[in-house]
Amino acid sequence: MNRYADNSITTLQFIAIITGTQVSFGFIDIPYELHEHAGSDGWISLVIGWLVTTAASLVAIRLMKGYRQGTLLDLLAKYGGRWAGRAVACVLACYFAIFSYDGLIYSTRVIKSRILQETPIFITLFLILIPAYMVARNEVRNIGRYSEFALLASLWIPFIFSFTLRHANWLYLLPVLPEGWGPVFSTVPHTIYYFLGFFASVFLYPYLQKKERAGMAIVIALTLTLLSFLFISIVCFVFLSPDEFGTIYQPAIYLLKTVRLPFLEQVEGMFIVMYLMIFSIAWIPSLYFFSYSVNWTFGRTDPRLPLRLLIGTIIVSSYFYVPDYWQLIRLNKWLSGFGFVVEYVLPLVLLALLSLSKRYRTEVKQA
Amino acid sequence: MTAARKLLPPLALLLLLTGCFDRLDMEDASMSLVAGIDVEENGKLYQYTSIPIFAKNSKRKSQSYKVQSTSLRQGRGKFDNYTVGVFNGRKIQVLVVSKRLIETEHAWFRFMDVYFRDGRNPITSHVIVFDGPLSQLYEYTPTNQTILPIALLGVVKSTSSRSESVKTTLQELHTQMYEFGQTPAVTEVELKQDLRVKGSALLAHDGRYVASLDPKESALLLILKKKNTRTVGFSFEVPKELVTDPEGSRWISFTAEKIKVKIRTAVKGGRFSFDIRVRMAAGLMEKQFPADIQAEQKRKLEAACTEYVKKEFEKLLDKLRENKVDPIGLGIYARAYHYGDFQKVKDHWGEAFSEADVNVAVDVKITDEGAVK
Repeated sequence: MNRYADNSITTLQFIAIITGTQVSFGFIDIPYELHEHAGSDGWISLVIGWLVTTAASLVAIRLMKGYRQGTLLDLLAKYGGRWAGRAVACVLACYFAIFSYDGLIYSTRVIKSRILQETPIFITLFLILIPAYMVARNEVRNIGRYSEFALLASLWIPFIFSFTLRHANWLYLLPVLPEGWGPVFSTVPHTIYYFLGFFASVFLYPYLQKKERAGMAIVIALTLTLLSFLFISIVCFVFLSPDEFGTIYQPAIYLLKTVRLPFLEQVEGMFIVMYLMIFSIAWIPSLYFFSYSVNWTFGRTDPRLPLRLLIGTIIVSSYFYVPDYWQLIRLNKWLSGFGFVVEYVLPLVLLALLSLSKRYRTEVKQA
Repeated sequence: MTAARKLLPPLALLLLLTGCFDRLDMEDASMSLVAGIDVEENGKLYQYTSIPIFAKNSKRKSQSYKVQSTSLRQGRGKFDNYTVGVFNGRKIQVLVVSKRLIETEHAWFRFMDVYFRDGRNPITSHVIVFDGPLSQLYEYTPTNQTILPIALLGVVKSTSSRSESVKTTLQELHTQMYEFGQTPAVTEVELKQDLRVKGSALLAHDGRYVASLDPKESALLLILKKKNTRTVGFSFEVPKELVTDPEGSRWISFTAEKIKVKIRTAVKGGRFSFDIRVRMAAGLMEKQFPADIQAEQKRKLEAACTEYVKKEFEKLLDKLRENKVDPIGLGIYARAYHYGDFQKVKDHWGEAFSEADVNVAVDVKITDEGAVK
């Protein structure tokens, strides 16, 4: 019980963890993804995706409101028995392990292709994972503080993109809906992947200092995510001609390549290096949730052992095998489906089951 | 003590790490600043480069090399054999293509692929067309002892600040090459007495050279592209009715400021029509005839300026349509406001543009007479 009170996090830290996990590499990829499927109307799909995600996240918060003394796993153990909790814990451990692996490989691929082309991936990965381990082995409060710092330290990013606006041609955004609503709606599922991460709230809920603000906090977090995605998408849409859009991967980095500052060359290199902090929120909290789930299954408390095992496996395996770009895209697609089931469907199902079981219990009592 | 002992094994492990593989010391690097591509009469592709020499006691300040290679990346390897340090193109400032290359090799833009594909290469380099064989350019030593890249950048920057030539970076060229509703235009440079900007070279959609614009036409093009941030100067002879002595000089010069361009599009029976309205404030710079710029006279003078500027715009637009190129990007307006009609013609927008109606309306207001009457 004390565990949660001693490690309580503020509302801002809660927001920082969730927004950071979502924004991370979506910021670099999402303009391309949106444009590929919906052209310059992709931003509308983004807004719809945000609406859907807000609904799903409020379901998750609603679920946790019923049980304030523990995480989702404790809640399951209470209502469904220890083994129900263990089953879900295993699924979540897998989910977060893959989530952090995906983020790690993506970031190292970006560094490899843009900055350190000749350095082997396993070295980059090793260097990234040392600080990741140092943060993730601690309790939630440290992770919250780290995320808060990383988010605040990245507030300069929108300003650097304002340099690219002198190339902007706002006519590229017109016409709106040339092909009707069809492409806009069919793009919404593609945005799901970039909103994954709000599920962290079911782990963070018991740590929140002000639980009554959880609903508001998650809506703020999602809105921040939406705003940053909207910002980068629209900046890219007015910068790149719709006809050249499909030829450029990672448009956010491409845009920065056109920025010339008198005192700094290769602005995009600096950006990637600084942006690593935001990237890292994609895997540091997930690494923690992974070790939490594993520990919960086995009834242990020290998060270090599972972390060491996972990190060791990732580094050693990267020496022999690293997914290439296309495999990474396939992994993303797959993770997107997995994430949809875990983050969007699972809370809904659990909430339904929970209210059913509660009703059943009260009926039994009344009888 | 225990903390130190705990730290020891990981620290020992760190010793095994090799460190960053991408390290490149300055003295080991030889940086190409001007890359050039040319095709010679035998049809073979040649690459040129110019590398600055930093050694103090060297007589020359830069060194040029020429190799034969069809791929820019392969050419880099060949340059590497010559240079003292590791040759790399990460600091390329200017990319020069010869006029012969873009006249004969239509798909020359494919050679630029390496700049976009390799994430570390710059895309802010200026693209320049050189009218003449590149060997001439690379053998040339600027008279004021600056090195070639500085001289090239200098002429491009000074002319583009007076809106006398388009200034196209690699990234802008990429946009113009891919955009269906626009054709590319790049700076054209020649060697006559000294290095000088000739104007802008207009390319067709596939990159083939089509026509050239002189500095005056380039300025008008930049106005229509809404790209000129500074002032544009005009000089012309006013009609005889406006001067008291018809045999004397009739020259007048003004600089245009606060230039506002409005472009409206319409489609009539499958044909596009564009209404271009240009408004500008003129400040007189030079007047070689006596005239009292008051009430009636001022209006007449403004009408004369308007008429002159309008004619110049019409000449430019006729030239563009004759050559079936649209460096202004009117196709972007067409797509934005008439998507369906544009989609039908987008693969041959140049043709569609050549058949389009373009009306120019100009409004010049004289706002400043200068310091003397």
